[in-house]
Amino acid sequence: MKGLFAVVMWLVIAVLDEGTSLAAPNPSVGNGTADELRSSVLSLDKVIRNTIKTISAHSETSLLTPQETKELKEFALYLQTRVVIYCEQLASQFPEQSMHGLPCPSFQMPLGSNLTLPPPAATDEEELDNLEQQLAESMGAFDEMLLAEETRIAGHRPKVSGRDIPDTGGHGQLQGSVQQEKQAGGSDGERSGHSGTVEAASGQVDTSVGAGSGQGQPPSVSYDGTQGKLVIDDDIVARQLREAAEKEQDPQLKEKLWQEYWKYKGKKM
Amino acid sequence: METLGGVAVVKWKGVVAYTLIVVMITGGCASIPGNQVADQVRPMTVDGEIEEEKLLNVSIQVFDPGVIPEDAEESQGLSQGIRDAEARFIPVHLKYSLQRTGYWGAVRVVPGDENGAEVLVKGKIEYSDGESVAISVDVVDATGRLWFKKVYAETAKKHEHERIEPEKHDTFQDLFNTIANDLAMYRQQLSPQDVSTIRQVATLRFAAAMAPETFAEYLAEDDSGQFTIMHLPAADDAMFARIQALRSRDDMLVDVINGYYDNYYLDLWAPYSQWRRYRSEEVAAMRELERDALTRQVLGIAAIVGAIAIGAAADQETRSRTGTLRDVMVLGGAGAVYSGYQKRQESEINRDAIQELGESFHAEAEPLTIEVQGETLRLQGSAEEQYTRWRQLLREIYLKETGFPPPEVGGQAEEKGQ
Repeated sequence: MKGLFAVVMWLVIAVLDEGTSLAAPNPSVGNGTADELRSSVLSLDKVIRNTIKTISAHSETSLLTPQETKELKEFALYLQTRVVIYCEQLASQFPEQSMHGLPCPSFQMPLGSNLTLPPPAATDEEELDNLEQQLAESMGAFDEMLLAEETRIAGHRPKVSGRDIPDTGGHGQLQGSVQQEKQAGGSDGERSGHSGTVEAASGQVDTSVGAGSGQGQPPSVSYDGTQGKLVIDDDIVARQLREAAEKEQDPQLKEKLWQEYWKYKGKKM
Repeated sequence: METLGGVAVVKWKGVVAYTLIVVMITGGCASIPGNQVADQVRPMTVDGEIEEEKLLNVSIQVFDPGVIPEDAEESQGLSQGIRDAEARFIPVHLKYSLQRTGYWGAVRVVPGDENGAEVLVKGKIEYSDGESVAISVDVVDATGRLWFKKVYAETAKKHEHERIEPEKHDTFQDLFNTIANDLAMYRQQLSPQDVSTIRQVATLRFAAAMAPETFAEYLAEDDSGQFTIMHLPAADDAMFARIQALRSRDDMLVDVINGYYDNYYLDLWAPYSQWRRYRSEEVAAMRELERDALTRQVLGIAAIVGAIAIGAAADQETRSRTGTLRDVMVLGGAGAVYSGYQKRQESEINRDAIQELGESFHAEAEPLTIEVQGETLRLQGSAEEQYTRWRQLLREIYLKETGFPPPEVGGQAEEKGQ
């Protein structure tokens, strides 16, 4: 996990080193100016590219475990989705702005839009570029679908989270009374109605402290009785965003990462 | 007189011996196919870490559920729905068992044939009743080489139903460890060149499925299904770079599908473990009662037959001398037969419990199985639409890049995931 910390930090530092101009701190980036949106797109795109480079490079050197690689891929997928969202905002809120130079997919423009579509490709090279673009967009759409599925899966709470089945004694308890036990909740309390019993036994007490309540605030925590410690309710993407934000020294970038973190948490909630 | 009495005793002993043989034969378990795995099998684990380029990814196909036994006695409380659940549960636990060894790269459960799999594990449930399980396993790598084909069986001991933990220790952990160890031992025999070839062939098979006009000629497949590399793409091959990007998406799709399988496994863990445990206990209790009932009935009949034999074979004096004994034997034998009948009646209660346990677990498992099947099919359907689109785009790109119409490609253009 330390390796993953280092990689995430390296990605952020790489963006800074390359002199990327980041958006000015603004709590309402979602409704920001065109420049802010453009800056966000470029910054996140840079992180995505570096993430992909990292995955490719470290897959050769085995610096990353398969799990860390998977997590980085999910991180990149999430950032890609954010890029698409910012591009959409830019296209809809600032239609007069050129999308030139931005890694934005081509959007279906709303009716009445005064944007003029680019002229159709004329040469083979342009047509090839167009095909490449379509392939990239198709992959982006696929990535978004996978991200949505990941979110859906992460939201699924297994009906049973117990790690063991308590000993209930001999088989005699079951003789001729399986159905009765089922209806009555069972004398041993776990053969039937196991879901609630085992979940309760896991000792998870939600002590959320207002996730999404504001930027820079500590994330929500809950108490895991089985581990006897406080745990932060973050999935992979949220954890990577949080870790990057916590480690970041640059105040602007730090705030930007926290913004992304809370947006992500807010969306999931 | 003594002679006749001796004959009666010999007959009596013969009846008892016959009785014991019958009891021993009829008191056994159902016949489980395959060889029983050893007890307390320790999983082989890697010392240190294997370099990434030497790791092979493993795809475990959802198992063939097989069929439940035709014999009504053996299939008591079993159902095809339970088998369908096991056909997904067992591969997921095998995945966790393999992951912990450190011998492998990504280990994933896949819903069907996997065209780009480096190592593909296929399994079939030959037998499973909660107490015992038998699984046939075939392992083949991307080049078409069969690693091994074996049938593994295990009958769980009572304590093995108790010390269990999701993802780590299953009731049949000895069986899972044995399969994992066999895979690891085969992997140890492979040279670095073998590993590299398997990885390359897997990539090229995926490439040929996605862009057959470009990559079909890179591989040759012989009549026995063995693949040989004919060419390798250049390091800066743009089309190959596109294929790699698509392959990473394909891997992520399988990871997402595995997310559904993992949740399914966790949802099923408690009811499945409980069903296996309680069914085993009920079966053991029933078996004990039936064995007891049979022993009593056979011994009772033997006592009655013995009494009759003594009476028939002896003279008047012996008959009068053994009258009391024969009466006791007849009465005792009748009592034993009756108590055997009562024991058999008791075992009916276990039989009913086994049936109800099966129905209860089936009712819990079936909706979960339908759900995970539905999610998998939905994802595969969405992905296949995308794959079709990608194949079309790659074909058009090929046309633009080369200026040639795509060649007609036959067998290599197998659909991804079909």
